Amino acid sequence: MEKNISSTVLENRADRKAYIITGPTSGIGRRTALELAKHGTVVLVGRHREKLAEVQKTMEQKGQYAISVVCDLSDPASVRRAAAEIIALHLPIAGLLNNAGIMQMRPTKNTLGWDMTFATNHLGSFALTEALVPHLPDGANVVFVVSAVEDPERKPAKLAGFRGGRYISAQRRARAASGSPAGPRSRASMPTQRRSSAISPR
Amino acid sequence: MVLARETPRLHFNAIEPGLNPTTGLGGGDVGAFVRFLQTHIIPLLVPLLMRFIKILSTPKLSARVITKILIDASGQTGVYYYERGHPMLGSTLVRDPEFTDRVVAETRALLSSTVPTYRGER
Repeated sequence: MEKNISSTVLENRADRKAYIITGPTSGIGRRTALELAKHGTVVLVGRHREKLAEVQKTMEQKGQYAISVVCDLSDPASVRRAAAEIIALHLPIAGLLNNAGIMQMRPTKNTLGWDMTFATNHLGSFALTEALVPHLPDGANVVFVVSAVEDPERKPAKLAGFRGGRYISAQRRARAASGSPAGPRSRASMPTQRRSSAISPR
Repeated sequence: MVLARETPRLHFNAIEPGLNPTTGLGGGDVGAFVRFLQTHIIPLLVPLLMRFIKILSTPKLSARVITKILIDASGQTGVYYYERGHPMLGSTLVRDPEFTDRVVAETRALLSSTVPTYRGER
């Protein structure tokens, strides 16, 4: 495991929130890392040291702060080493973004014989999160970039019941359509309980 | 999102970033012609098509949405967001607590059984 920590970052780390991002060297991850750098120190977690260094350099040229941690998410041992390295930095971590993901046209396997996509996209993010959770301060955000594109039940937000960012139940929509008194005026913001049930039904 | 239930002191959320054909995801396995399309042609088309295909997005737009969620201090947890940053319903399986509990339990079991150093710290 190797790291590249500039003295400038270490001098300023106590004063700035830190955000960890996996897969920060291309695509959505790269753009998000650059966006996050406006809000604090960014811990860049990725496989390729050279690519991490390039992103870090881009940030530092703008006067922003970044730390690179080399990690192969498809290798659980590498994930644990990276997590230990991040914890040892003692940064005030405000968020973890599990962004890294691969899509292979020809499936390959990691050294343990696991499917590389499964190992990287699911196991790696899971193991990193579990290793870091005990060390995250109360209120920290953990975000997973996921894919619902393949969900056969997924409908455009409007059909699913959302109107301008608000959820309206099927019953309310039906009442609104029938012109009952509890019609359009009964619209309500999606309540917290309902929001939680979107992925956490209990 | 079992994690959101297990650890309420932290905030766990998920974001579906939409269809991002310009990220180059999977580009390593495609031919030169497809890579050329991904790099030079599709980026020109996406902004034009976004008006008609709502799930289309760009890394720039996704980055703004994801950053907003990651720095959010409202305390929301267990929320599944879609590409414009609003809550959406997850799939039937995602909303099934028995299924999600099983996924997490089996993931921990797999990591614990195969990786001696994995302790499933929680």
